[in-house]
Amino acid sequence: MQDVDHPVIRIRSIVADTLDLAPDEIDDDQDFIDFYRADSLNLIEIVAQLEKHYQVELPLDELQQARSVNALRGLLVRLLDGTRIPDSAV
Amino acid sequence: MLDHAQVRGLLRQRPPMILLDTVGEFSPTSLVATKAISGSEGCYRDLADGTPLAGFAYPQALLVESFGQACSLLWTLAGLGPPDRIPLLVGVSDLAFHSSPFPGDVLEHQVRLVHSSSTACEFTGRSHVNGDTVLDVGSLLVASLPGPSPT
Amino acid sequence: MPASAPKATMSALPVPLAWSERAPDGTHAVLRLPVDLAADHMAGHYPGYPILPGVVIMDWVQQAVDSLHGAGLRMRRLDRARFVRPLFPGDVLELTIRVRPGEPDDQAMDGEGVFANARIVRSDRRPAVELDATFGPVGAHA
Repeated sequence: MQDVDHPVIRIRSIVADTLDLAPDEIDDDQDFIDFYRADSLNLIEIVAQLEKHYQVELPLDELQQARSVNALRGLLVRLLDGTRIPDSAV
Repeated sequence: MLDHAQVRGLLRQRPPMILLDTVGEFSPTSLVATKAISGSEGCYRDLADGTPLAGFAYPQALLVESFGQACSLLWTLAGLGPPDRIPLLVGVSDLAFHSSPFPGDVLEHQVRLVHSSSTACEFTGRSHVNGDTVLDVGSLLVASLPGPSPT
Repeated sequence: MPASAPKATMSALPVPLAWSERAPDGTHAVLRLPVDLAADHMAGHYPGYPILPGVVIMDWVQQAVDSLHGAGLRMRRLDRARFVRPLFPGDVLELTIRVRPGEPDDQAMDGEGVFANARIVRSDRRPAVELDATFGPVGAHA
């Protein structure tokens, strides 16, 4: 069973919502801009949703490298301690 | 409380795009601002003689801009971005327009900060005239970047 | 073309020059819109950094709907607007609007409303604005 609060599920759902796709259409390793034709505002929208959900600020200078579900998860894991975001695959 | 001189000192817009008059109460996360609508405004200049009242409904674009300026004042007062940057409106969603405001009405915008970071700030709120809601704003997103992508 | 009833606007469309394509059934149109540095709203937005206020697009979409469907409709909901890239003076924007009938049971529309989807590209062909709005009869309450 998949837990909706699992970070990968949560990030994938936010990304899918922003890009008008279904969550199962998202490949966790694909670049939002190169693969899904996201625009720069989509990235702002995704980051704002994640920041709100996890109550954390994602540093601007790290966002250029965080353009896939897995890259964003990695960034969140580094910023938050393990009690708030389990670092495990689905 | 900020009078019109103080509001003008804080807004980056200049006439004829100054669409706020005063600020009532404010905190780091909320603000109440007013704007009086007058028949002498530029948006009514070209209406023909005999135009019925419905034609004098305050343009919705200006209503939203006025609300947006209340958000940008909160952005400035709360120090949500560097003073040398302009807060740019990059997204709105779930706006509902109710009864129309007309010349003689005083808009009261109630703005609340939902989220702020160096990437973006999100606001929500509503606008009233005499206690009647004229505008509900679900979400207004402002980028404190130098624009989403200037090129 | 249905006559537009007099209605206050933020920035009047340069009619009829603006219309570059127009479906006879009113479901689709393309407008070409110059970003005019001399316009009132550019003077104060912002000094030294003129940029088209995003809300002007709302006004243009309202006027396009007036022109396609008569002036009896007003925007009741702005479901979503995304301002992806700034719009600078001197550019000529291409606004594509698609209009479809609303759901019969949507209260905001009183059974006679429309949905409008508008997209703007700049002359460099880069997407700049996306907007979805719901229009209902003037005078009815949302």
